[in-house]
Amino acid sequence: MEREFTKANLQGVYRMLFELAKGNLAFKIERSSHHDELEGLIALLNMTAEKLHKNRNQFLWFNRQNGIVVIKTLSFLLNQECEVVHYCCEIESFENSTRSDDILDKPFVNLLTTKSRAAWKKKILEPLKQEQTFTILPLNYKSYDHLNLNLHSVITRIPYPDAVIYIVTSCLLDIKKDDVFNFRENTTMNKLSHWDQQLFHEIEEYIIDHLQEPLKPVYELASLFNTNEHKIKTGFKEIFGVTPFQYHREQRIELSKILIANTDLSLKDIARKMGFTSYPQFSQHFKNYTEMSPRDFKKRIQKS
Amino acid sequence: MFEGEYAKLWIEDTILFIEYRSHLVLTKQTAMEVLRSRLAFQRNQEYAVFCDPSGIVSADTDALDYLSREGTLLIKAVAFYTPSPLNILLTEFFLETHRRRLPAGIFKHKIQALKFLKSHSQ
Repeated sequence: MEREFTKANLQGVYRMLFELAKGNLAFKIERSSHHDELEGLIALLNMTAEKLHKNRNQFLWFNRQNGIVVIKTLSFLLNQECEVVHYCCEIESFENSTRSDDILDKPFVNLLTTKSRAAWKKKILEPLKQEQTFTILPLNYKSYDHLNLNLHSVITRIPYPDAVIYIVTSCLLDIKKDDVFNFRENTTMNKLSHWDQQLFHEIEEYIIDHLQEPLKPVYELASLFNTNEHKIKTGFKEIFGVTPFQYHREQRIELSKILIANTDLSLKDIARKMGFTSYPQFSQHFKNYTEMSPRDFKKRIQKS
Repeated sequence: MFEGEYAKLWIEDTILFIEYRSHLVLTKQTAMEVLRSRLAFQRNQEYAVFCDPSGIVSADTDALDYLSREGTLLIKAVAFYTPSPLNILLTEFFLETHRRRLPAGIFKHKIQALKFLKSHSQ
């Protein structure tokens, strides 16, 4: 049955929009089992926030001219029963939405969403009991009503002779105004504007869309994207670690690997499908990238 | 007909049909498994694909990125058809944010989707 768009039903959406406006992109609205328009809106907001968060994290390290990247943590000390003995919080949005009375001396799992509780039990507590000391897992904390905060976390198990304690450290990458170091004077510091970020994202999309044909020379790419050759050469490599041509080639090889592993197509056909001019050219690029020939890769896949 | 853990696949009149299982949370791992099954099922042939994503309840960005790149291998065109408002919006989000050169569209009527695929299946 379709729900109506009432204030009560939209509480999570409003809270999410407030948090997005404040730059808090790690939140997600709690999902329900409905399949209606409202659930679609909630799913869309979650996916949008996730995409923005991913993009921001990718470029965070490049925008340090006015700020420094900080890792904000949320740490819990748990006793053997996994109740919270002590905690420290640097993440304002979590601090603002949770009271310490609801945390201290209460089971740690009370802070997690239902889905994360199951993961905690299955993937964390059970492996930890088998003497594993560190476990890395994303944890979904319940935050404001209807919102969840998804944080990368490390769970450490410290055994004592008569008991075990746990330390949970969850973290969030953020940017803080630089008032300690004068980065502005450092001219070697990388700077990438939002326009540049958009530009390189578009070039990457273009490359992915044109894998089956030879990539245009840099001067043509520059003209296509209204920029200069130098910017493409240096900027693209800074972000992706390789030149546009290497990226183009690597993506082709990655797709070829999937076809080799999952189809009976001949290596020559795969080379042709992926836009290589000849099998020797394909083989050479494949070998340079994976350190084995396509034939050896195929043999290895067939054996495994 | 192939009945996988995450999707059902079958071929009818030169069109490959993909129907995702109910209550599916689409992750990159799930998307990789669906791609593996699809490529094995296609036996080296390229197809126009009719996709019913109604079973999907959520999808993360890694899964969508994967589907828009690797997930288009050996596909000529794709038509999405779903009556669910949630899945219409999820599919629109996917098509808006992962636009590729592959002919793709979302259709309100099955017959329109099949007509679109017919024009790309030759």
